[in-house]
Amino acid sequence: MIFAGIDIGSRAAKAVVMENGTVVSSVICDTGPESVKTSYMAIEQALEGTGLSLEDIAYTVATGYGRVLVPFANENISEISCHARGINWYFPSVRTILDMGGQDCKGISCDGGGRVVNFVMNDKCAGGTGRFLEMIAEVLGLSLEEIGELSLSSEKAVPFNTICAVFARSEAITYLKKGMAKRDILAGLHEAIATRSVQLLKRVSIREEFSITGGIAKNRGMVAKLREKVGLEPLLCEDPQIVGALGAALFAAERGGGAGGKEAKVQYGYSDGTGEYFVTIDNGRCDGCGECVAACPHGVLEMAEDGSGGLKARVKDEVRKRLALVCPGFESCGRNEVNCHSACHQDAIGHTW
Amino acid sequence: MKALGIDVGSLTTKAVVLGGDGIVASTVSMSSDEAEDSARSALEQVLNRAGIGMADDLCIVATGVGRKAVSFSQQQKATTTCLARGTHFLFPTARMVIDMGAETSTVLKMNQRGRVEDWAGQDKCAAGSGIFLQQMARLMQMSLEEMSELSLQATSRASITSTCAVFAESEVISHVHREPPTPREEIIAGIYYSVVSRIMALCKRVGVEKDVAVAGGVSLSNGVVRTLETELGFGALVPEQPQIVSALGAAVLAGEMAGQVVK
Repeated sequence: MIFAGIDIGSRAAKAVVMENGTVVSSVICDTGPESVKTSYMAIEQALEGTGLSLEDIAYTVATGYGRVLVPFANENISEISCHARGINWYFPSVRTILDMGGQDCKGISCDGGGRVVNFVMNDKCAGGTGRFLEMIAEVLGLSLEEIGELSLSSEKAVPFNTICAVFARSEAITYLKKGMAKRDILAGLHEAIATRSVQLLKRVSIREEFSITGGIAKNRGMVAKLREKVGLEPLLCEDPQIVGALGAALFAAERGGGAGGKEAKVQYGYSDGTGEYFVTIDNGRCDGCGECVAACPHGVLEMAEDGSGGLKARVKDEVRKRLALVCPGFESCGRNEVNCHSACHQDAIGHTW
Repeated sequence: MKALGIDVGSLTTKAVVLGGDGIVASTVSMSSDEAEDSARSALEQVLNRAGIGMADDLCIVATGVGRKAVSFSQQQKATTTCLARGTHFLFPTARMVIDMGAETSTVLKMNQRGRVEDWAGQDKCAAGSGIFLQQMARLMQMSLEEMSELSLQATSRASITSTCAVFAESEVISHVHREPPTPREEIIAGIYYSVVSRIMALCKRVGVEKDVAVAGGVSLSNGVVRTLETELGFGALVPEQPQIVSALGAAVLAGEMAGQVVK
């Protein structure tokens, strides 16, 4: 079955087409003034050369700020969920994501199942966004692709004490007039943005592993500064800009594939006045080894046939309605040496609490 | 003995010469990249206009963001102190002043002697600043004066929801290119409202107290002042030359320093 994810961002539209859990094609194009046209353009470009047409897609999920204007989408999901989901597909160990987009910047904290635990975003101010970098590149007469590389060659960054894009631009012009090297000005600006992004990340708490998504993640100068400021080596995927669209495609596969499908995640549990108590088992990942059943100190899990002859982990029927009473949750159980998460080499188990 | 105040701002440098009978001369010139150069050329200009020479006994106080670089001043004073003193000199009844500069907005409360009691400022971001207004004027392809005049015809205002100057710019562009386009006076009214709402946020932090005076280059715009007055709910005291208020305050302090009693 074919699934698609489409991410209409403020500056670029991204589309990903997936078949049987692998990416068939992906595309990035500029966002035009009309989101509807942009969305058709993106999906058509993504389908080009694959021999597929729009009718072949079983389910489409749209995300990004223009997501409500995608006429062929079956569902809309926020880009925050999609980024967490998308990065989880590449690196299940990632817990902290910095998404640096065209007009906003987000810090996302997620769990092993690619679910969002917490997030903060800056969409009020252009400081630290792609738009900021665009403005600076323009002032310096450079292309967006060049600035990151050039900043890396600097040995002495010019300190910028503003993050406001408007002020930074006039400050950059002043420094340029004073004859300071472009690379040093760029290094200073990259540093200012990195500092600001780290402040954003601290509000969601920084946990290993760390990844950067969005268009700015392609800027090597920025990645280097973030590595330095965050103090963690970021895991970067092949194309960080399509992560949101990829997450949307993964959601599409989950929603459109039906339960029991290859990608299906099964949730057990409930939510009550005190919180959400769900255990998620990713049947696409679970290889039926049974180690989690042995590892769980509270005997919550069991193995069961999945209908096609294989074994899959599941939460015992009798504890599903009183899950929170039996299982202390990963936050406290995670401290035990042995638990279901550590036992599972496929990282197929997730807890919401 | 003459008292001289120099205010080296981010966009313009202001200088005021004060004598026993009040302001002798004042100038407003563009700041250059070097604060020292800006101050020196402002000094020459104002002395020229006042018809006095450098040799005359001068007492100089510098203020503004570039004050530290003015090596020929006897003293450097904080912008807030000078703003309060300058306002008090012009309007003794004022208890509050709203200074809207190129890059900084300041709302300041003072006592009946012109001493600072409380203040709130905003210099981190271009939202609501003079630079923001200038950028918008460029976008509308109008001068600041034309904008101000046209705004008086507005009967309603366009909504500009972004705080950030960069994002507001895109919003204004979309208003211009809308089908049918939003009338220009409504867009301008929206721009003014966005500037004033940032100022009002600062006012809330210190609490409004009458009388209220305005200062800074942005107050040259009639439209902005009018919008501000609507939001305040009463009229504000507008100086003839709102840009020189801080420089005037610096001159007042210089006069006191020299032992000359001014007002």
